[in-house]
Amino acid sequence: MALGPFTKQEHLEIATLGLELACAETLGVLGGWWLDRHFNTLPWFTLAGGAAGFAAGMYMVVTGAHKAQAAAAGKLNKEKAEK
Amino acid sequence: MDVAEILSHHILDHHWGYTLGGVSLPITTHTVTLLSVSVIMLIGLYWIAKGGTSTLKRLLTAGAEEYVTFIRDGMVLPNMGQEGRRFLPYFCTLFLFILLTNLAGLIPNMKTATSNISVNAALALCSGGLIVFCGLKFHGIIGFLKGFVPSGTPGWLVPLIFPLEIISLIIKVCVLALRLFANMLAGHMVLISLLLMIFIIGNLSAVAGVGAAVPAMGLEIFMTLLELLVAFLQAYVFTLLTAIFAGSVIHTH
Repeated sequence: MALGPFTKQEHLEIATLGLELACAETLGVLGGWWLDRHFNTLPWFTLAGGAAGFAAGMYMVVTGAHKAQAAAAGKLNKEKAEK
Repeated sequence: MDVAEILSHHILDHHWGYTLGGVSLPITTHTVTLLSVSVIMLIGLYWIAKGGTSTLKRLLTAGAEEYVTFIRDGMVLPNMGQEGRRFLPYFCTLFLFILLTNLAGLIPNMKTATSNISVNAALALCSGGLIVFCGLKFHGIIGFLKGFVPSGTPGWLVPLIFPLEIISLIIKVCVLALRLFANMLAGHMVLISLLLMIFIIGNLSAVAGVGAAVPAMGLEIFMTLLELLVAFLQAYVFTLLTAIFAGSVIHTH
């Protein structure tokens, strides 16, 4: 099976990125909601948690994509040099 | 016919209601499945490890050796390097335990314990503990914490990147649990929904119900085979991702 410029492990890590974004967002909102219930400040912590979760999720997606791109570029450069 | 009740009865955990001296014992369908799998693994693997001269014993021993080689050469060594060799027993146990727990759900009257988020959270906590242990063992506390800041990060960005990287690791461990939970739960919901389709249509018209039984059973067989594949796939993905994360902590740059 053709895997393109990525290894099996890199494919798995790339496929995980979407779930990581969703999980970060959900954890942020739930954490904020718990704090809001605790301090009776609804909706401020929920909104802040949602924003923080989204930021963390996007950071993971961007760093993951950057890592995959660097790995693919490295592999392609190596193949070019071999030719 | 209460579809929601049948669905929840099929999927959710059931407390058996045993008490000892007024204390409620945690005997539930999922804990019984987990204990059964653990006992089968302990006795079965001990029996295989003891070895023997019969054809079956030699076949099983060869199978067990192939299995350990598959985990070592396919997951641990490519991702963790030689440092991962000492953690091989953990990965072998993890894969087999998840696989057998997933497969247990396909046996009538048994439940898929991995469709319970608490079970998966415990498994993910073990994997998270292993990842942190690897970082501390091979780099020390300072080195492990330094590994959370990518090389070349400007000094003023460190207070922002450092907590983000720690949160990333926590989320990655959470995602391990969530993926297994979602896949196993969804598969069993589809299985029971396909069966219920026959009775829902049968309630409207008996003839249509009989007619619906043929495609529904065909889909049911297909989905059961798919569940069999998913059971192997999810055990593989959980183990491989644990090895990848542990490897990324050991070889930080």
